[in-house]
Amino acid sequence: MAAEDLLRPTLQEHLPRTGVRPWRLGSQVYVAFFGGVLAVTAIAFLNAGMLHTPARVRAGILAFGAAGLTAVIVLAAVLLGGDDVPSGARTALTFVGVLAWGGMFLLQRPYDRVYATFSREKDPDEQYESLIGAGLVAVVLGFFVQITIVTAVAG
Amino acid sequence: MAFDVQQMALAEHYLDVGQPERTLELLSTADGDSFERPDYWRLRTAALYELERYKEAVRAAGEGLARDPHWIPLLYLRAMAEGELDKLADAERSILAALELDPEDPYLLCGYARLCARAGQLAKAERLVDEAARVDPENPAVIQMRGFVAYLRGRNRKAQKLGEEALAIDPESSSAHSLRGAAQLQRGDVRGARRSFETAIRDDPTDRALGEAVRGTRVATHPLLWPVLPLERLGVAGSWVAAMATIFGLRALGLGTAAGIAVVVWLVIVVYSWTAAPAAVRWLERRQQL
Repeated sequence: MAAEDLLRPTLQEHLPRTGVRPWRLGSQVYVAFFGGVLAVTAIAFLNAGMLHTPARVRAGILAFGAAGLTAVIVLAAVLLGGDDVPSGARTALTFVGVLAWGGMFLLQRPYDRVYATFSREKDPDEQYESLIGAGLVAVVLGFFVQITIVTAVAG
Repeated sequence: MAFDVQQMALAEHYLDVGQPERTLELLSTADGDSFERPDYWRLRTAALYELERYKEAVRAAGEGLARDPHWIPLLYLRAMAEGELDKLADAERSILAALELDPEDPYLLCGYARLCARAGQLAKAERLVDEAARVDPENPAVIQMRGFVAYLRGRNRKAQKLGEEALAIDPESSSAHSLRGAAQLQRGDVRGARRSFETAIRDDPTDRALGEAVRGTRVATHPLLWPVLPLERLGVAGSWVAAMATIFGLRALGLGTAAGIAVVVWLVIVVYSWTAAPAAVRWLERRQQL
Protein backbone atom coordinates (compact mmCIF):
# COMPACT_ATOMS: atom_id res chain seq x y z
CA MET A 1 0.00 0.00 0.00
CA ALA A 2 1.45 3.37 -1.02
CA ALA A 3 1.80 6.09 1.62
CA GLU A 4 -1.12 8.11 0.21
CA ASP A 5 -3.35 5.04 0.27
CA LEU A 6 -2.63 4.72 3.97
CA LEU A 7 -4.36 8.03 4.52
CA ARG A 8 -7.60 6.95 2.86
CA PRO A 9 -10.40 6.73 5.44
CA THR A 10 -11.29 3.20 6.53
CA LEU A 11 -13.04 3.81 9.85
CA GLN A 12 -16.14 5.62 8.61
CA GLU A 13 -18.32 2.51 8.83
CA HIS A 14 -17.13 1.65 12.33
CA LEU A 15 -19.92 0.92 14.77
CA PRO A 16 -19.32 1.58 18.46
CA ARG A 17 -19.04 -1.51 20.64
CA THR A 18 -22.18 -2.82 22.24
CA GLY A 19 -22.15 -3.80 25.91
CA VAL A 20 -21.90 -7.49 25.01
CA ARG A 21 -18.88 -9.06 26.68
CA PRO A 22 -17.01 -11.89 24.95
CA TRP A 23 -15.81 -15.12 26.56
CA ARG A 24 -12.23 -15.83 27.53
CA LEU A 25 -10.34 -17.66 24.79
CA GLY A 26 -8.70 -19.97 27.33
CA SER A 27 -12.07 -21.10 28.72
CA GLN A 28 -13.15 -22.33 25.30
CA VAL A 29 -10.72 -25.24 25.59
CA TYR A 30 -13.00 -26.88 28.17
CA VAL A 31 -15.82 -26.79 25.64
CA ALA A 32 -13.50 -28.44 23.10
CA PHE A 33 -12.37 -31.05 25.64
CA PHE A 34 -15.80 -32.04 26.92
CA GLY A 35 -18.07 -31.18 23.99
CA GLY A 36 -15.91 -31.85 20.94
CA VAL A 37 -15.28 -30.00 17.73
CA LEU A 38 -18.88 -28.95 16.95
CA ALA A 39 -19.41 -27.42 20.39
CA VAL A 40 -16.21 -25.40 20.32
CA THR A 41 -16.83 -24.25 16.75
CA ALA A 42 -20.21 -22.82 17.77
CA ILE A 43 -18.74 -21.04 20.81
CA ALA A 44 -15.70 -19.70 18.93
CA PHE A 45 -17.89 -18.48 16.05
CA LEU A 46 -20.23 -16.61 18.41
CA ASN A 47 -17.27 -15.20 20.32
CA ALA A 48 -15.65 -13.97 17.10
CA GLY A 49 -18.84 -11.99 16.44
CA MET A 50 -18.70 -10.46 19.92
CA LEU A 51 -15.06 -9.49 19.29
CA HIS A 52 -16.09 -7.74 16.03
CA THR A 53 -13.65 -9.80 13.98
CA PRO A 54 -13.66 -9.50 10.18
CA ALA A 55 -15.69 -12.06 8.19
CA ARG A 56 -12.52 -13.92 7.15
CA VAL A 57 -11.79 -14.80 10.80
CA ARG A 58 -15.27 -16.25 11.24
CA ALA A 59 -14.85 -18.12 7.95
CA GLY A 60 -11.53 -19.45 9.28
CA ILE A 61 -13.22 -20.70 12.43
CA LEU A 62 -15.83 -22.51 10.36
CA ALA A 63 -13.05 -23.97 8.21
CA PHE A 64 -11.26 -25.33 11.31
CA GLY A 65 -14.61 -26.69 12.49
CA ALA A 66 -15.27 -28.37 9.13
CA ALA A 67 -11.76 -29.82 9.05
CA GLY A 68 -12.18 -31.09 12.61
CA LEU A 69 -15.55 -32.66 11.83
CA THR A 70 -14.06 -34.34 8.74
CA ALA A 71 -11.26 -35.71 10.90
CA VAL A 72 -13.81 -36.98 13.44
CA ILE A 73 -15.79 -38.75 10.68
CA VAL A 74 -12.65 -40.29 9.17
CA LEU A 75 -11.39 -41.40 12.58
CA ALA A 76 -14.80 -42.83 13.45
CA ALA A 77 -14.88 -44.78 10.18
CA VAL A 78 -11.32 -46.07 10.60
CA LEU A 79 -11.14 -46.67 14.36
CA LEU A 80 -14.71 -47.58 15.22
CA GLY A 81 -15.75 -49.41 12.06
CA GLY A 82 -15.10 -52.95 13.24
CA ASP A 83 -15.88 -54.89 16.42
CA ASP A 84 -12.41 -54.27 17.84
CA VAL A 85 -12.48 -50.64 19.03
CA PRO A 86 -8.97 -49.39 19.86
CA SER A 87 -8.53 -48.05 23.37
CA GLY A 88 -7.28 -44.67 22.09
CA ALA A 89 -10.35 -43.95 19.92
CA ARG A 90 -12.09 -41.62 22.35
CA THR A 91 -8.84 -39.83 23.17
CA ALA A 92 -8.24 -39.32 19.45
CA LEU A 93 -11.68 -37.74 19.01
CA THR A 94 -11.07 -35.43 21.99
CA PHE A 95 -7.64 -34.55 20.60
CA VAL A 96 -9.25 -33.44 17.32
CA GLY A 97 -11.53 -31.03 19.23
CA VAL A 98 -8.63 -29.54 21.20
CA LEU A 99 -6.48 -29.27 18.08
CA ALA A 100 -9.27 -27.48 16.16
CA TRP A 101 -9.69 -25.12 19.11
CA GLY A 102 -5.95 -24.34 18.90
CA GLY A 103 -6.47 -22.96 15.39
CA MET A 104 -9.59 -21.05 16.44
CA PHE A 105 -7.69 -19.62 19.40
CA LEU A 106 -4.95 -18.25 17.13
CA LEU A 107 -7.53 -16.68 14.79
CA GLN A 108 -9.35 -14.92 17.63
CA ARG A 109 -6.27 -13.91 19.63
CA PRO A 110 -5.38 -10.54 17.98
CA TYR A 111 -9.00 -9.34 18.27
CA ASP A 112 -9.21 -10.55 21.84
CA ARG A 113 -6.09 -8.53 22.64
CA VAL A 114 -7.56 -5.46 20.95
CA TYR A 115 -10.71 -5.91 23.03
CA ALA A 116 -8.84 -6.42 26.31
CA THR A 117 -6.42 -3.55 25.65
CA PHE A 118 -9.02 -0.95 24.74
CA SER A 119 -11.82 -2.09 27.02
CA ARG A 120 -12.93 0.61 29.47
CA GLU A 121 -13.18 -2.06 32.14
CA LYS A 122 -9.65 -2.93 33.25
CA ASP A 123 -10.39 -5.78 35.65
CA PRO A 124 -10.12 -8.98 33.56
CA ASP A 125 -12.91 -10.59 35.63
CA GLU A 126 -15.24 -7.78 34.59
CA GLN A 127 -14.12 -7.70 30.96
CA TYR A 128 -15.36 -11.18 30.13
CA GLU A 129 -18.66 -13.02 30.40
CA SER A 130 -18.76 -16.36 32.18
CA LEU A 131 -18.81 -19.27 29.73
CA ILE A 132 -20.48 -21.65 32.19
CA GLY A 133 -24.06 -21.35 30.87
CA ALA A 134 -23.43 -21.13 27.14
CA GLY A 135 -20.51 -23.54 27.42
CA LEU A 136 -22.60 -26.16 29.17
CA VAL A 137 -25.34 -25.94 26.53
CA ALA A 138 -22.72 -26.19 23.76
CA VAL A 139 -21.04 -29.16 25.45
CA VAL A 140 -24.29 -31.10 25.87
CA LEU A 141 -25.64 -30.37 22.38
CA GLY A 142 -22.26 -30.67 20.64
CA PHE A 143 -21.44 -33.92 22.40
CA PHE A 144 -24.77 -35.54 21.45
CA VAL A 145 -24.65 -34.39 17.84
CA GLN A 146 -21.05 -35.58 17.54
CA ILE A 147 -21.81 -38.93 19.17
CA THR A 148 -24.79 -39.35 16.81
CA ILE A 149 -22.55 -38.68 13.80
CA VAL A 150 -19.83 -41.01 15.11
CA THR A 151 -22.36 -43.77 15.82
CA ALA A 152 -23.91 -43.39 12.36
CA VAL A 153 -20.50 -43.49 10.65
CA ALA A 154 -19.25 -46.42 12.74
CA GLY A 155 -22.58 -48.04 11.91
CA MET B 1 -5.92 38.36 36.95
CA ALA B 2 -3.79 38.37 33.84
CA PHE B 3 -2.82 34.91 32.74
CA ASP B 4 0.76 35.29 31.58
CA VAL B 5 3.28 33.12 29.76
CA GLN B 6 4.80 31.94 33.04
CA GLN B 7 1.48 30.60 34.26
CA MET B 8 0.97 28.85 30.96
CA ALA B 9 4.40 27.25 31.39
CA LEU B 10 3.45 26.20 34.92
CA ALA B 11 0.22 24.65 33.63
CA GLU B 12 2.30 22.73 31.07
CA HIS B 13 4.69 21.63 33.83
CA TYR B 14 1.84 20.20 35.92
CA LEU B 15 0.77 18.22 32.89
CA ASP B 16 4.31 16.93 32.36
CA VAL B 17 4.61 15.73 35.95
CA GLY B 18 1.27 13.92 35.90
CA GLN B 19 -0.85 16.47 37.78
CA PRO B 20 -3.52 17.37 35.19
CA GLU B 21 -6.01 18.41 37.88
CA ARG B 22 -3.63 21.22 38.91
CA THR B 23 -3.31 22.23 35.25
CA LEU B 24 -7.09 22.61 35.13
CA GLU B 25 -7.13 24.55 38.43
CA LEU B 26 -4.57 26.98 37.08
CA LEU B 27 -6.33 27.34 33.73
CA SER B 28 -9.59 28.11 35.52
CA THR B 29 -8.02 31.37 36.70
CA ALA B 30 -7.38 32.51 33.12
CA ASP B 31 -9.04 35.66 31.82
CA GLY B 32 -10.87 36.41 28.57
CA ASP B 33 -7.81 37.08 26.44
CA SER B 34 -6.31 33.68 27.23
CA PHE B 35 -9.25 31.93 25.57
CA GLU B 36 -7.99 33.24 22.23
CA ARG B 37 -4.62 31.50 22.67
CA PRO B 38 -4.47 28.02 21.09
CA ASP B 39 -2.12 26.83 23.85
CA TYR B 40 -4.79 27.46 26.45
CA TRP B 41 -7.13 25.01 24.68
CA ARG B 42 -4.34 22.53 24.02
CA LEU B 43 -3.44 22.39 27.71
CA ARG B 44 -7.07 22.22 28.78
CA THR B 45 -7.82 19.43 26.29
CA ALA B 46 -4.69 17.49 27.27
CA ALA B 47 -5.48 17.78 30.99
CA LEU B 48 -9.07 16.62 30.48
CA TYR B 49 -7.78 13.75 28.32
CA GLU B 50 -5.33 12.68 31.04
CA LEU B 51 -8.17 12.73 33.56
CA GLU B 52 -10.18 10.48 31.21
CA ARG B 53 -12.87 13.19 30.87
CA TYR B 54 -13.04 12.54 27.16
CA LYS B 55 -16.35 14.23 26.32
CA GLU B 56 -15.13 17.46 27.91
CA ALA B 57 -11.80 17.05 26.12
CA VAL B 58 -13.57 16.83 22.76
CA ARG B 59 -15.59 19.96 23.61
CA ALA B 60 -12.47 21.87 24.71
CA ALA B 61 -10.64 20.88 21.53
CA GLY B 62 -13.64 22.05 19.53
CA GLU B 63 -13.50 25.46 21.26
CA GLY B 64 -9.85 25.82 20.34
CA LEU B 65 -10.35 24.62 16.77
CA ALA B 66 -13.17 27.14 16.32
CA ARG B 67 -10.47 29.76 16.79
CA ASP B 68 -7.83 28.00 14.68
CA PRO B 69 -9.07 25.02 12.62
CA HIS B 70 -5.53 24.12 11.52
CA TRP B 71 -3.96 23.73 14.98
CA ILE B 72 -2.41 20.26 14.61
CA PRO B 73 -1.91 19.44 18.33
CA LEU B 74 -5.60 20.11 19.00
CA LEU B 75 -6.71 18.04 16.01
CA TYR B 76 -4.54 15.21 17.33
CA LEU B 77 -5.87 15.47 20.88
CA ARG B 78 -9.47 15.65 19.69
CA ALA B 79 -8.90 12.52 17.58
CA MET B 80 -7.45 10.65 20.55
CA ALA B 81 -10.33 11.70 22.83
CA GLU B 82 -12.91 10.74 20.21
CA GLY B 83 -11.11 7.42 19.89
CA GLU B 84 -11.48 6.80 23.62
CA LEU B 85 -15.20 7.46 23.26
CA ASP B 86 -15.22 4.80 20.50
CA LYS B 87 -16.32 7.42 17.97
CA LEU B 88 -13.78 6.19 15.48
CA ALA B 89 -15.38 7.76 12.40
CA ASP B 90 -15.13 11.23 14.02
CA ALA B 91 -11.65 10.43 15.31
CA GLU B 92 -10.50 9.44 11.84
CA ARG B 93 -11.81 12.69 10.35
CA SER B 94 -9.88 14.67 12.99
CA ILE B 95 -6.60 12.79 12.56
CA LEU B 96 -6.83 12.87 8.75
CA ALA B 97 -7.41 16.63 8.90
CA ALA B 98 -4.14 16.88 10.84
CA LEU B 99 -2.33 14.49 8.50
CA GLU B 100 -3.46 16.53 5.53
CA LEU B 101 -1.51 19.42 7.05
CA ASP B 102 1.54 17.28 7.87
CA PRO B 103 1.44 13.80 6.28
CA GLU B 104 4.87 12.82 7.64
CA ASP B 105 4.40 13.69 11.29
CA PRO B 106 5.36 10.46 13.12
CA TYR B 107 3.10 11.24 16.10
CA LEU B 108 0.10 11.73 13.84
CA LEU B 109 0.88 8.52 11.97
CA CYS B 110 1.15 6.66 15.28
CA GLY B 111 -2.09 8.24 16.47
CA TYR B 112 -3.87 7.06 13.35
CA ALA B 113 -2.31 3.62 13.82
CA ARG B 114 -3.76 3.51 17.34
CA LEU B 115 -7.25 4.32 16.01
CA CYS B 116 -6.97 1.64 13.32
CA ALA B 117 -5.74 -0.87 15.92
CA ARG B 118 -8.71 -0.02 18.09
CA ALA B 119 -11.01 -0.88 15.19
CA GLY B 120 -9.18 -4.18 14.68
CA GLN B 121 -7.50 -2.98 11.45
CA LEU B 122 -4.15 -4.29 12.59
CA ALA B 123 -2.56 -4.69 9.15
CA LYS B 124 -3.18 -1.03 8.36
CA ALA B 125 -2.00 -0.02 11.84
CA GLU B 126 1.24 -1.89 11.19
CA ARG B 127 1.77 -0.16 7.85
CA LEU B 128 1.18 3.21 9.47
CA VAL B 129 3.77 2.59 12.19
CA ASP B 130 6.18 1.29 9.57
CA GLU B 131 5.70 4.58 7.72
CA ALA B 132 6.30 6.51 10.97
CA ALA B 133 9.48 4.47 11.51
CA ARG B 134 10.65 5.32 8.00
CA VAL B 135 10.25 9.02 8.83
CA ASP B 136 11.77 8.89 12.34
CA PRO B 137 13.28 5.49 13.14
CA GLU B 138 14.92 6.48 16.42
CA ASN B 139 11.86 8.13 17.95
CA PRO B 140 11.04 6.16 21.14
CA ALA B 141 7.31 6.89 20.75
CA VAL B 142 7.41 5.34 17.28
CA ILE B 143 9.38 2.33 18.50
CA GLN B 144 6.88 1.81 21.31
CA MET B 145 3.92 2.07 18.96
CA ARG B 146 5.51 -0.50 16.65
CA GLY B 147 5.89 -2.75 19.68
CA PHE B 148 2.30 -2.14 20.72
CA VAL B 149 0.95 -3.11 17.30
CA ALA B 150 3.22 -6.17 17.24
CA TYR B 151 1.83 -7.16 20.65
CA LEU B 152 -1.76 -6.82 19.43
CA ARG B 153 -0.92 -8.98 16.41
CA GLY B 154 0.39 -11.70 18.74
CA ARG B 155 4.07 -11.14 17.83
CA ASN B 156 5.26 -11.24 21.41
CA ARG B 157 8.98 -11.66 20.73
CA LYS B 158 9.05 -8.64 18.41
CA ALA B 159 6.98 -6.60 20.90
CA GLN B 160 9.41 -7.39 23.72
CA LYS B 161 12.41 -6.54 21.53
CA LEU B 162 10.88 -3.17 20.58
CA GLY B 163 9.96 -2.49 24.21
CA GLU B 164 13.61 -3.07 25.14
CA GLU B 165 14.77 -0.84 22.27
CA ALA B 166 12.53 1.95 23.55
CA LEU B 167 13.89 1.44 27.08
CA ALA B 168 17.46 1.64 25.81
CA ILE B 169 16.64 5.17 24.59
CA ASP B 170 14.42 6.16 27.51
CA PRO B 171 14.93 3.87 30.54
CA GLU B 172 12.34 5.76 32.58
CA SER B 173 9.48 5.30 30.13
CA SER B 174 6.51 3.83 31.98
CA SER B 175 4.74 2.83 28.78
CA ALA B 176 7.83 1.04 27.45
CA HIS B 177 8.12 -0.94 30.71
CA SER B 178 4.44 -1.72 30.41
CA LEU B 179 4.81 -2.90 26.80
CA ARG B 180 7.77 -5.11 27.70
CA GLY B 181 5.81 -6.54 30.63
CA ALA B 182 2.80 -7.37 28.47
CA ALA B 183 5.00 -9.16 25.94
CA GLN B 184 6.92 -11.00 28.68
CA LEU B 185 3.66 -12.16 30.21
CA GLN B 186 2.43 -13.56 26.90
CA ARG B 187 5.75 -15.35 26.47
CA GLY B 188 5.36 -16.97 29.88
CA ASP B 189 8.03 -14.94 31.69
CA VAL B 190 5.69 -14.02 34.54
CA ARG B 191 8.45 -12.96 36.95
CA GLY B 192 10.01 -10.68 34.33
CA ALA B 193 6.56 -9.26 33.53
CA ARG B 194 5.95 -8.57 37.22
CA ARG B 195 9.23 -6.62 37.48
CA SER B 196 8.37 -4.61 34.36
CA PHE B 197 4.84 -3.79 35.55
CA GLU B 198 6.05 -2.86 39.04
CA THR B 199 8.62 -0.49 37.53
CA ALA B 200 6.00 1.00 35.21
CA ILE B 201 3.46 1.64 37.95
CA ARG B 202 5.97 3.53 40.07
CA ASP B 203 5.88 6.29 37.46
CA ASP B 204 2.17 6.01 36.80
CA PRO B 205 0.41 4.85 39.98
CA THR B 206 -3.05 5.93 38.78
CA ASP B 207 -3.09 3.67 35.70
CA ARG B 208 -5.88 1.14 36.35
CA ALA B 209 -4.77 -1.29 33.64
CA LEU B 210 -1.25 -1.35 35.05
CA GLY B 211 -2.67 -1.87 38.54
CA GLU B 212 -4.54 -4.93 37.32
CA ALA B 213 -1.41 -6.21 35.54
CA VAL B 214 0.68 -5.87 38.72
CA ARG B 215 -2.04 -7.59 40.72
CA GLY B 216 -2.32 -10.44 38.19
CA THR B 217 1.42 -11.10 38.05
CA ARG B 218 1.77 -10.93 41.86
CA VAL B 219 -0.89 -13.62 42.13
CA ALA B 220 0.68 -15.72 39.34
CA THR B 221 4.12 -15.62 41.01
CA HIS B 222 2.80 -16.49 44.48
CA PRO B 223 4.42 -19.70 45.88
CA LEU B 224 1.02 -21.45 45.81
CA LEU B 225 1.07 -21.17 42.02
CA TRP B 226 4.71 -22.18 41.51
CA PRO B 227 3.71 -25.75 40.52
CA VAL B 228 1.80 -24.43 37.49
CA LEU B 229 4.15 -21.55 36.69
CA PRO B 230 6.19 -23.54 34.10
CA LEU B 231 2.99 -24.04 32.06
CA GLU B 232 2.84 -20.28 31.50
CA ARG B 233 5.69 -20.77 29.00
CA LEU B 234 3.41 -22.87 26.82
CA GLY B 235 0.34 -20.70 27.30
CA VAL B 236 -3.20 -22.03 27.66
CA ALA B 237 -3.46 -23.37 24.11
CA GLY B 238 0.03 -24.87 24.11
CA SER B 239 -0.48 -26.56 27.49
CA TRP B 240 -3.73 -28.20 26.45
CA VAL B 241 -2.47 -29.33 23.06
CA ALA B 242 0.72 -30.69 24.70
CA ALA B 243 -1.30 -32.52 27.35
CA MET B 244 -3.66 -34.02 24.80
CA ALA B 245 -0.77 -34.97 22.51
CA THR B 246 0.95 -36.73 25.42
CA ILE B 247 -2.19 -38.63 26.40
CA PHE B 248 -2.95 -39.52 22.77
CA GLY B 249 0.66 -40.54 22.17
CA LEU B 250 0.69 -42.84 25.20
CA ARG B 251 -2.58 -44.43 24.09
CA ALA B 252 -1.26 -44.89 20.57
CA LEU B 253 1.80 -46.65 22.00
CA GLY B 254 -0.51 -49.02 23.84
CA LEU B 255 0.46 -47.57 27.23
CA GLY B 256 -3.13 -47.32 28.51
CA THR B 257 -2.20 -47.16 32.20
CA ALA B 258 0.36 -44.42 31.64
CA ALA B 259 -2.21 -42.50 29.56
CA GLY B 260 -4.76 -42.87 32.37
CA ILE B 261 -2.24 -41.54 34.88
CA ALA B 262 -1.46 -38.64 32.52
CA VAL B 263 -5.18 -37.81 32.33
CA VAL B 264 -5.48 -37.79 36.12
CA VAL B 265 -2.30 -35.69 36.52
CA TRP B 266 -3.52 -33.21 33.93
CA LEU B 267 -6.96 -32.86 35.52
CA VAL B 268 -5.32 -32.38 38.95
CA ILE B 269 -3.14 -29.61 37.47
CA VAL B 270 -6.20 -27.92 35.93
CA VAL B 271 -8.26 -28.10 39.13
CA TYR B 272 -5.26 -26.99 41.20
CA SER B 273 -4.74 -23.94 38.99
CA TRP B 274 -8.41 -23.00 39.48
CA THR B 275 -8.35 -23.34 43.26
CA ALA B 276 -4.83 -22.10 44.04
CA ALA B 277 -5.31 -18.73 42.32
CA PRO B 278 -8.22 -17.56 44.54
CA ALA B 279 -6.33 -18.85 47.59
CA ALA B 280 -3.26 -16.83 46.53
CA VAL B 281 -5.46 -13.73 46.10
CA ARG B 282 -6.88 -14.12 49.62
CA TRP B 283 -3.35 -14.69 51.00
CA LEU B 284 -1.97 -11.56 49.34
CA GLU B 285 -5.00 -9.45 50.29
CA ARG B 286 -4.65 -10.45 53.94
CA ARG B 287 -1.03 -9.26 53.83
CA GLN B 288 -2.07 -6.14 51.90
CA GLN B 289 0.29 -7.03 49.06
CA LEU B 290 -2.32 -6.53 46.35
